[in-house]
Amino acid sequence: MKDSLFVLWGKRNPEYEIQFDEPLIKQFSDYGKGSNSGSADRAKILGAGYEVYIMAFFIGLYADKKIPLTDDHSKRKDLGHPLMYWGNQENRKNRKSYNEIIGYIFAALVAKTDIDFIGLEKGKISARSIIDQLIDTMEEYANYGFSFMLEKIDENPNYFFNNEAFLKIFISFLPKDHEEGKTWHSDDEPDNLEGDSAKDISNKDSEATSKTEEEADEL
Amino acid sequence: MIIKKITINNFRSYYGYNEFELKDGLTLIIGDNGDGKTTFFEALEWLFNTSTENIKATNISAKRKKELGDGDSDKVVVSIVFQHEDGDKIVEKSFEFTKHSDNIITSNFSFKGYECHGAERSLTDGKNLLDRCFDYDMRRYCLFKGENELNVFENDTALKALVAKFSDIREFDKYVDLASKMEEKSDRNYKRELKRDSKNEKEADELDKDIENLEDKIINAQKDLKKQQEVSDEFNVRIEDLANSEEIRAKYKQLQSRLTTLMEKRTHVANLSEINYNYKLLDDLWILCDFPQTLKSFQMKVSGANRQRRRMNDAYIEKRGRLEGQQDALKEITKNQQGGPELDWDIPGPQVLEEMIQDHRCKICGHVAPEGSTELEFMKQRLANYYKHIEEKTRKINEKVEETEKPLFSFNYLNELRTISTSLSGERQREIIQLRNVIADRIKFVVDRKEELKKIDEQIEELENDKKNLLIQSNLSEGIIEKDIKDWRGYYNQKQRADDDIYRLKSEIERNKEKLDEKEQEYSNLKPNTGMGKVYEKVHRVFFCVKKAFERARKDNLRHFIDKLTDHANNYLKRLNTGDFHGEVCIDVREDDRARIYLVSNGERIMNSNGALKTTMYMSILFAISDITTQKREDDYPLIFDAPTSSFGEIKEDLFYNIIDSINKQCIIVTKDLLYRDPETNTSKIQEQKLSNLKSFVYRIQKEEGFDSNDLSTISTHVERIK
Repeated sequence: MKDSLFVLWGKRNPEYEIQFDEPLIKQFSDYGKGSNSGSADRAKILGAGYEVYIMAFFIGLYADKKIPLTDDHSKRKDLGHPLMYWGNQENRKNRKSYNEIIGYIFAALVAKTDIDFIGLEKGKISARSIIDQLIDTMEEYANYGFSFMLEKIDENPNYFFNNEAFLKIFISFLPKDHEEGKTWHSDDEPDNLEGDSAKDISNKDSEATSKTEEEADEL
Repeated sequence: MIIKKITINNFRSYYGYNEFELKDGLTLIIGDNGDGKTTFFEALEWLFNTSTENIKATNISAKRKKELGDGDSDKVVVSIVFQHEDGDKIVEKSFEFTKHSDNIITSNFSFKGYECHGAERSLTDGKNLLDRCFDYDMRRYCLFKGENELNVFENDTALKALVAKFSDIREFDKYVDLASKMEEKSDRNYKRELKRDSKNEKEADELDKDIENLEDKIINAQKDLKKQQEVSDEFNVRIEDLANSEEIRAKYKQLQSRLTTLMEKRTHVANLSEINYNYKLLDDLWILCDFPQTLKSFQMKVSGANRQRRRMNDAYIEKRGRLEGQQDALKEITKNQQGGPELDWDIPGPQVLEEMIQDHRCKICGHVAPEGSTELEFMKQRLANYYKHIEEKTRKINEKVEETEKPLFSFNYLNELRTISTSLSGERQREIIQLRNVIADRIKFVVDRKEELKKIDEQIEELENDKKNLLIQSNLSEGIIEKDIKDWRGYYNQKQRADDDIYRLKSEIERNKEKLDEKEQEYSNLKPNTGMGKVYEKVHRVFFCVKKAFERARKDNLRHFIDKLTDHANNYLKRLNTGDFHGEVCIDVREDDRARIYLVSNGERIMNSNGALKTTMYMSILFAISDITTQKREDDYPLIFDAPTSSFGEIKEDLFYNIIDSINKQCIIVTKDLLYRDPETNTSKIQEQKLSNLKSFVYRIQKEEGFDSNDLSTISTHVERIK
């Protein structure tokens, strides 16, 4: 019996450009330190290396911007951690497994990749080539996300050491509150998110939210 | 001795000549901090101290010293005019000071006294006059600085001295001593005579041993008793000290308990407000807050692809159906080649053609078609073509049918995607859509908690400040208070043990004394046989009774004195605490005539009496001492207090002054009570209303205006009688 697309995809290791290794992945995560690293890692804002990758991917996804990776494969690498295990090996204190996230990442890739489903179903196109396409999409989104993050720390090296920095970025992608003209756009320095009044998030484009909900129900 | 006037000249802040006329009752001298209250008090202390000259330059007014030119002189003088027995008397203590090249030289100390007889007055020695009119020993009961000095019996010899001076015990002591000596001598002789008698010798020896033994026991028990009393006193002092700070400890414990509760709450709220948003983004999938649109796209895409697949598949199946129909039709044709349905009249079917070929005749036109004719060949050819065509068509349809028997799609990956899509819809999808609200709620929750935390921190700071102020006011460290809380029980237990021992030892002493008396009685019962022995027996018996009588009388006299003192003190205590709880004064006299004063209620000692009650207790004792040590009003002496009411509340304070005002006793009280701070001028003002109720003389002392806060030589006390 052939493996499903999801299983095939889950066995893969998406790549990223080595240039992001030091300033981002190793800077923010335990990547390259081993699982039983000491107290120095407590200063890290994230756990495993793939967590930085996930952040980068979703930044690219929500911005809907992709940057192709360099063709030079010597300048690319992967995290040595197949996708299927992402989110289920976080053993830091007060953390919990969130492996279901890969289902959503997979769904996003399917949504955002031009796939010849009929060709695939008829066997004219191989599953492997579809998975390659999905991985390409993922890498390109993440590549944009990494570039975005790198820009931020170029402007302010401590940008992401603010607890609210990533959340604020993701909130900035949410539909804007047209009535009050409130925005969540990111600045050089993340503002005090809690100070901005939390109600802004829930007020954002509630019409769009309910519409989405209805459509989803229909589906 | 009733003081009528006090003059102070150039004594420290009392620059130049200052005069206080006093009332034979209460005189109040009111001043704020630094206005010269304590200086007034110390000027009198200096005057009443007849043991030293003390002409230190530090007692000279700095302002006056500065004013002096080189070689100029002036005098420091403190004097009182007082009424005593037959007329007014004056004592005046003074010394000169001279400025020499910026140095002050003091000289010519003088202590003069004057006795006035009508308009005349005669000079005498000030020290002698003062000692004569105001007994040196009594001066310890006259001047009191603050509340802490009021307990005069803190000094172990105080009661002894008081009793010795003002009761008749001293007279008894002489007789007790004499009677004891006589009794001792007669006893010795009597016993000696007894032992000469062989009949009594053995018994007397045994009694001697018993008596010696009992006396040893009594002495040892008395030693132990003294020791235990010291232990009890020591722990009593500690407990009293702790009792003084009981209110502070209670407040401290209350503050500490509230602080602990708040700190626990703070930790809880801090934990709630401490949230790692990065972990939330991942672990709680907050990162999917903007995912609904993408999810919708995914679902629509999968759904669309599935629809397309389904449509294609349906079309494919339909097509196969059609082919199968055709195949069936051809099969039918083939099957009907014999006896099948006829063709139309103008289209000869295969059966007609075969008949026409067999008959050699065309059934359509009726022409004969003989063997070998073109018509017959045509008909044969047509029939052959027909069969060939049918065969060909059947083959093709069979091929197509065979082809459509294979499925259109080899794989069904879309089914997998549809399953994923379904799994991400419904409740999970709703959760994703709700994420933005969840995040907003959580952020609001954190903001609220941080606000709460701020308030808690403010409360903690407030409590910490209260605690700090409490420690400053009580002059205790946190460590000491904590230790006191722990020590309290220990001290109490140790005192209790000592008191139990005291009770036991007292009983033991009493028992042994009774036994001793019995033994002495047994001794007395031994009948001497010699003539001298009988004489000694009678003599000894007389002296024994005389000694006992004097001892009892002395004891009764002391008890009577103490009872009188206690009665007077309780009378004052009651008046000074009118309308308030006060208990009763108890003067506990020890074996060695030392005394301890405390309050009792229903026979139980009050351990944690408040500061004001304690102060009024000590004052009551002082008034009582003054009462019973002065036979006549003229023999009375003034009581001079410096700030005696610092532990009083405002109501207690008012009551106190009104009562002191009504007591027939000269009191001079130096205080900052009855002042209030005027917020407009930021200066202290007298509470006129309260003064109007008093009959006393009232002086207001305050620093002369225009002084330099850094220059002592600009300070002088202004004295003004305001009532």
